[in-house]
Amino acid sequence: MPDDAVQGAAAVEGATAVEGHPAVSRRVLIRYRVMAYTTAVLLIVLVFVGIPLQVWNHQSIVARVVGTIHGYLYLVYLLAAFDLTRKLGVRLGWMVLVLLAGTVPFCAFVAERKLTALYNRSAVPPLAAAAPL
Amino acid sequence: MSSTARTGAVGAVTAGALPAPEPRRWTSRRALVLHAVLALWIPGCAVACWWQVTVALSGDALGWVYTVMWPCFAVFGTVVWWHLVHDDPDTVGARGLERLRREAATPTGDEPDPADALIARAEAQDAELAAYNAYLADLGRRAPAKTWRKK
Repeated sequence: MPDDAVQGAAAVEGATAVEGHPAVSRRVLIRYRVMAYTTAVLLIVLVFVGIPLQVWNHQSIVARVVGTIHGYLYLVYLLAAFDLTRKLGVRLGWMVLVLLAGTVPFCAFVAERKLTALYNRSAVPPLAAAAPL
Repeated sequence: MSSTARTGAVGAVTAGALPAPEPRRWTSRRALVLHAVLALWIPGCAVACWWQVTVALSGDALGWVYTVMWPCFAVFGTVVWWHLVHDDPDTVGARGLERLRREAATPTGDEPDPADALIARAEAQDAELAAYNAYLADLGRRAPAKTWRKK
């Protein structure tokens, strides 16, 4: 399976290089996945630990620290997500949903799964002649 | 044979599909939507930034952290807007590549026509037919094709 994906990515790279656009390299996907998991976990900590503590226990330190970190890491998530969705050719509406997924608890996990599946599908060359190099 | 021929075809299709920049890049429907979103996004970030300045000035130093963050979001929005206006959605990325591959997979005229084999077999059996076909081919080579443009 990873072999297929890598070979597919190479085929995409060759063809897009001709076209003058950067290829959808595996690095772009991995960068996005790391940021998706990071922001998703931080957001869950913020919403389900930090904010309850702030509201019911009047301890705002967790919410303040995690909220700030999430804010800036979300910015990095946005860059990674835009890079990947643009290179995969995701439609505008879906792109917006992927970007917003970083602000709703658990949604970033869903977006990450969908985009990884899309990446693996797009990486398999549909033309039989494109595979043997 | 097919591998190199296909590769060549991909190159040809790609080269043909490449140049011609979108003439209505800034005024297409997609671009107008992007302009509208950016026109809301930048003031939104500015308002949020100013709100955090007031938070910071009222004594919460954390406000300064967010005061720096909101302009970053505004810059991000501008970068996204710029890229999306300049991308041709049909040729950029994996979706565009898929389209180019599909076009490359359709016959380009280089492949041998299966009818040629039938004609060759009929000519081999019938000398008169072969001679007549040769005569027609010769005529076709000598006389330029008549079209409405070439008078």
